[in-house]
Amino acid sequence: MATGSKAKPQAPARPAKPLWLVYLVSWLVPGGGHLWLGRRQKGLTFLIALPAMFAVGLALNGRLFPFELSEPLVALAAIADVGSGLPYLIARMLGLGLGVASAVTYEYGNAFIITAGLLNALVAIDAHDIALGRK
Amino acid sequence: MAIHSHVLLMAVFAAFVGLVGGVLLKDAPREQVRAGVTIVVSLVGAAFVIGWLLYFLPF
Repeated sequence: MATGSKAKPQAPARPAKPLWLVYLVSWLVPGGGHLWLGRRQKGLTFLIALPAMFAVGLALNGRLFPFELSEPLVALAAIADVGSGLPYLIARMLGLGLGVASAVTYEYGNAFIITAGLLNALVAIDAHDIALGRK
Repeated sequence: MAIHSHVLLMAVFAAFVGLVGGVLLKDAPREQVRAGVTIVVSLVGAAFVIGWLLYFLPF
């Protein structure tokens, strides 16, 4: 057993950027967190692909679901929609995403919009891992 | 939007998911392409397999 060593256990390195801010930026601007953390290629890909997917969903007559707690599946879809961040907020402000249930592409549009939101949530979690130094 | 082809819409959906998934999962560009193509092929392939299985169901 070594004696006289004064080595202290190393404290985990603190992330350079506030995690809550990384989350917020990542959610609001798809790929924004990655761009901020210096992952340009990933950030630009997300910045283009996720809003495009959301826009295609709207163009396919998809619906931005309301928060109706009486209908759990609708509420879950609404939470997934919000995951898109700024594109969702802009679409809401412009009155888009009313959905045309009779349209052939209605369900496809919903799938595009919901998936874009869920993928953006995964992107935000990935940015969190990068900020923590795990990746 | 004027696209009414279910197969084309499914392929576009798979392409978006494959692009984001591949870039998200891997760091090296070559690995990203491989992962993305795997996701796209899996999604489209599974859709065709399930589609044919449903075709043979009597109800």
